[in-house]
Amino acid sequence: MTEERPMVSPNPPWLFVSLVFGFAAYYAHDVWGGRFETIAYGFLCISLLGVLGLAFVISTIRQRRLSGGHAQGLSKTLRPFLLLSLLTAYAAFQAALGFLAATFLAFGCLVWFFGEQRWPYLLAIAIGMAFLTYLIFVELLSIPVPAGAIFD
Amino acid sequence: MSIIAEVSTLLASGWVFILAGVLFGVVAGALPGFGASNTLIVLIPLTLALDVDQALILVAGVFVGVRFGGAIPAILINVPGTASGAATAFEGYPMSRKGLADQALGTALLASAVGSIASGFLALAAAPMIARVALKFSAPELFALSILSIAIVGQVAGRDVVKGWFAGAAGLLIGSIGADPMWGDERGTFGLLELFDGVPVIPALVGLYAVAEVMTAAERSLEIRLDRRLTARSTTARLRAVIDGCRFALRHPIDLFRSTAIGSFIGALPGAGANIASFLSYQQAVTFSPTQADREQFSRGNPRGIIASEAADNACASGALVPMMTLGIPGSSSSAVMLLLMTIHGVNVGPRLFTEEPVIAYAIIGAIPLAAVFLLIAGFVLILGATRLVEIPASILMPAVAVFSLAGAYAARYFLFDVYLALAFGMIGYVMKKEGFPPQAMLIGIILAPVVESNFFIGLRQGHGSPEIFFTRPISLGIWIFLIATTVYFSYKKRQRSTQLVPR
Repeated sequence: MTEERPMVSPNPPWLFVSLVFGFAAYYAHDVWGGRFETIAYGFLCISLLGVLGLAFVISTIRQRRLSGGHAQGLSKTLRPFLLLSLLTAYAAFQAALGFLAATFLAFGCLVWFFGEQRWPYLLAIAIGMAFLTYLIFVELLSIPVPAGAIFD
Repeated sequence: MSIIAEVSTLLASGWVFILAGVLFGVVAGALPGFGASNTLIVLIPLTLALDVDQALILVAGVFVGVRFGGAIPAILINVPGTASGAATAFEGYPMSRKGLADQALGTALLASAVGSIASGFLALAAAPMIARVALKFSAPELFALSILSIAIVGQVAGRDVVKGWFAGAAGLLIGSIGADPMWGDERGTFGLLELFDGVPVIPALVGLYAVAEVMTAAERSLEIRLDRRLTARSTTARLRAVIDGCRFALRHPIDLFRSTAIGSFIGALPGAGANIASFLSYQQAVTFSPTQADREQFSRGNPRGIIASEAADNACASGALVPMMTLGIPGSSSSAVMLLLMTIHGVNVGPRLFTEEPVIAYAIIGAIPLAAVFLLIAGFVLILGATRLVEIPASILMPAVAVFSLAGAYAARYFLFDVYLALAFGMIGYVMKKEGFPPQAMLIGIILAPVVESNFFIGLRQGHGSPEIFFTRPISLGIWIFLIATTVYFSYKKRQRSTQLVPR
């Protein structure tokens, strides 16, 4: 399927660590002054994160000194984030257009995004997959999907 | 004798329902994020049209099928259909990348079947005894066991233990979002009502695995396809490969037995769940590697890892039925839905079930091994079909994975918010993958956070405010000692390996 990926990442772990500590700071601010049972568990987790965070900051600095290397960027392309935007738009359009129409558009855009350039083929896949998805989730599994503001 | 005769008659006449349950379970389990609980919830209205015994053995079939179903996408595209299938992906996906998908699925099939059959018979023979032992586990033991599970996942997922534990701790913090269990005060919800009940597991699973995987695939503009050698092989050759995979599992009876025992026992512990069982079993398989070469193969496509996780995962399903049926305490979320189903159909679970309605009780447990046999037979056809599906070009496969997964996230609570949540976790999972943090550790932290927190406070109350209780009760002390021992052992082995690799 996908190419071999290195088990040890060359990227420094700063973005994930920053996200986690950023959330921890928000969480601590949110619960500050609360009851013991409300705040204790969260502060235990934050303390644990602090200890572990310190541990691998030290180990990361040591590894970089040993390897003499420099950090590589998170991703050489913005394609993954463009994909995320497309999927977010798919979710947003469900409220307006409804499940079936939004799924048809989503498949059309995603199939094109992943490299299919032949328009008749792309259209056929989008229609077919949208109906298959509808069949499985709505007819077979009876999931109540959004009808959409326009078609409601 | 008459109970055995009645149960046998019921199972013989209701085999169609068991088979239908298995097939439905496999298909539903293969849908990322859908899982056993959702599948059973969807089936509730359907079961109302059936007799109570037919409905319950249908559900038993689903229990068995959904576990193996979750292994299929885990092996083929590194997107587990169920959270407990994540451990299967550790070894199954690398095998799939080497063109050994059929062998991997064959191994998973046999391990699943053996796990279900063995634990079903174990449950039949020892349900009351297992329930008595499970009763000795209270808050301090469950707290220790949950911490053990997270620590183990951090050790075995990825190469850096500290990063694994950091991800697990982050999951524990994220899992506490919502109302606190004691006073109901909201924490970390960003003012969003949808998070008041906590972070739902299925969107987290879908995001950390499926969305992150699709984002990783999007980096490459190359066509992503399974190894072409797979498509060129004849059906006979592929069937032979599946049989080879099954034979491999049979040649490792100790792995099968150990994993089944772990799964059966962990499944019987209320609140523990299949996630703990599959990761604990996987870790034990690594620990008990017969040779250094075998240990080196873990994370690179060692089928023993698949045996461990699948056998434990499936054994857990039967194990979870034991406390549910004998004590009225569901051992997992899927057995909680089973409990609901039994209640709807007028079956009173609890200590009197085996005396007042023995036929139904033994039929449910007896249906599990029978369902496993059906799975084994139907599994060959299902595997050949499943691997053909994944030969679909990436331009169709990846959009299908993305859309189906997001639909699965929506299906959890019918909130569009959960789709956005899955996308947010997708971004987090992608960043984690790029920076070497294992998403599995975060996921298990999120799943176990409510268990850890509630048992922590209940344990403190039991100990009158003193945390000593967590370290002085014999079973919990034993779990802590085991955790320290495995951590030291893994660190020692890692240091030994890196010393051997450094040239003199």
